Amino acid sequence: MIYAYWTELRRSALRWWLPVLVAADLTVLYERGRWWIGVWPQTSVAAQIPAFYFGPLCAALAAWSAGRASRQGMDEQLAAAARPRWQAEGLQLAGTASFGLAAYLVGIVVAAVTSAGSAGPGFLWPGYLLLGATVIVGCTAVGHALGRWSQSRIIAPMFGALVCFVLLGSLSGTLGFMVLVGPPDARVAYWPLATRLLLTVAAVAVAVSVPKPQLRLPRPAHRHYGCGQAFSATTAVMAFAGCLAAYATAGPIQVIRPMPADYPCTDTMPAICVWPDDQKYLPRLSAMASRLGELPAGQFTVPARFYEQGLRGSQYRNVDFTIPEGAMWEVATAISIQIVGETFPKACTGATDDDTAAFFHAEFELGTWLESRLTGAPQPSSVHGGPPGVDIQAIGRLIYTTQESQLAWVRQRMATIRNTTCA
Amino acid sequence: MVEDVVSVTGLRQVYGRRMVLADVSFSLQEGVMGLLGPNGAGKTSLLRTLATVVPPGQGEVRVAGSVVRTGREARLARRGIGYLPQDFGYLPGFSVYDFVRYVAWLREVPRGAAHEGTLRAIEGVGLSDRMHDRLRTLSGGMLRRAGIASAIVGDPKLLLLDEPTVGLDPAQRLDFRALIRSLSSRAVVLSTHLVEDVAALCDTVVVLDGGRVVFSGRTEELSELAAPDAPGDTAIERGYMSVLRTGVRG
Repeated sequence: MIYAYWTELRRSALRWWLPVLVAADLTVLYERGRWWIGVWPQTSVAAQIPAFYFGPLCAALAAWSAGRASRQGMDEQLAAAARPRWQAEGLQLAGTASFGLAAYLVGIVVAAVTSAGSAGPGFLWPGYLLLGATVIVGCTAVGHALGRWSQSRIIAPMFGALVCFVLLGSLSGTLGFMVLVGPPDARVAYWPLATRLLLTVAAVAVAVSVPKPQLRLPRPAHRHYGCGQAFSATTAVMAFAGCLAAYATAGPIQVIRPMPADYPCTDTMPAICVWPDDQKYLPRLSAMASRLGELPAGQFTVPARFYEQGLRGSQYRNVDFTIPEGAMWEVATAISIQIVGETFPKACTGATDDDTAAFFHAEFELGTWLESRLTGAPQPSSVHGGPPGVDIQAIGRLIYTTQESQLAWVRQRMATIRNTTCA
Repeated sequence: MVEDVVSVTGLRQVYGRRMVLADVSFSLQEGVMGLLGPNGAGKTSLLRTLATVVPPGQGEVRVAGSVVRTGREARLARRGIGYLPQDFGYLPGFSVYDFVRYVAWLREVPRGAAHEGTLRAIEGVGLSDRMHDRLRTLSGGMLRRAGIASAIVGDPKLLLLDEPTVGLDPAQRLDFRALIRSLSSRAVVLSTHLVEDVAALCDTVVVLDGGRVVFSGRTEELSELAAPDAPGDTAIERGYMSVLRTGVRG
């Protein structure tokens, strides 16, 4: 079996595609962003993302490869073989999947090596990596089945790629075959992952054992001994249906991770605390906390600690900050909202619409100014939009003016807020 | 008593409304048996049935003394059957060695014997010097040899060859005959249109016509049945034409 598998690999036309697959993997890994470097869950997700591209490609290659026996006239020899047909098909499918998985593995190793230098404790998260592997093998199975049933060199690969592209692209959010981000407060859910693994195994079983569906009874010249083939095909289809039902009812693939017992914080006042996985951000967060200390004294109520989402109880999930794709502006936004909320804890609806608008406009302006002060720069061009009615560019220029002029500007907004007559 | 390598009793195959094989019975021990008959006589259907690709519609097929009735029994029997279909398939990107070894794997030749068996089969067909060449680079005659190597790998007791000389030039056919003679220590069923190949190679011959056995016996007995006015250049050709004309049963 090992020699036959090795022969499949050595003689497969797909071996010429391996460098292309590796290049595609590394391109996706690095060109999509570099923020994942140094954060193990994000690194794991980033290493998994290329599977999204490999899936349709592997489906097309598998469909092209699977029609080999029929195209080369090997069907009769396979029918006369002592070894069951599913084993020969399985060997070929394994060969195709191996090329996809090999390129995927190269990407994983490169991602791990890239992250290792700057990452916190831990290592790659196997759950995310397994998810990518199931996508590659599952799409290979889809392509193999279509290739066997259609035998067309063109239609089957195109259709296989299209099916996988639709499943992974348009429906990936709904179906949960892939994850796009790996925040540290989330982990892969075990049972949903298990159902995806089982579904993939069942898809492989269908691909290697179910012959081309026939609308009519097989011709006498195509009869077989016994009912083993029909039995195994029926079993595979039933197993697939069962796994599909389990997958559909298993729930989301990502769930909230338990709070850690210990986590790092900046040595600043106020302190900013993050998940151990995100400790690479501590220097930038320390700088942010230092800039927080430079705010005009006595104007704002600043909490003693700020927390990354998930470090505290669920009641704080909408308060604490996240670091999506390493974006410090998002952190500053969440911290600014907290500061404004602490400084002006009383909710207020103005006596008139104009009062309400002025109240919120002043709050929004203060928040935007705080964001720029915390990051030490105007809102970056990569961040689109902002609070309604706020002149973001003007505030971006304001932070480069003197402390006194900024203080006067701040006091003006604070007066607006404090002088609003609440209904 | 020497056990039959293969025996067929009362075999009948019906495809749709067409009777393809009707009450075919014969047995075979060691040696080469020719299977003659015009197009559509049922030769390929008989070989496919012997190869256990299709089960008998009626009747019984025994391989190495065991009746083949179930899928499991068929797979067991196939370990001892080498089958070269008329339009045999091959994987052009595989080398001769890889292809024969792959077929050895399909035949479940034990792993410990697969390498040696592959080398022996390739040597047996005289392709040792082209062992590592890809099949797509071989001539038609060499491809046939590679196909025969794949059929004999693992030393199956029963070898089924369907029109193996189609497409071969005269020199290649002579080589092929020498090759088949070297295999005569096993049971070989050679289906062919070429009566002269049967005369040169076969100990016994079965002639099919319309799915029925119209002759079964030794090769020289077929020659003896030649009618003086039968068409043909040789005695066996005339014998063959005679049994087709008269439907004599052996």
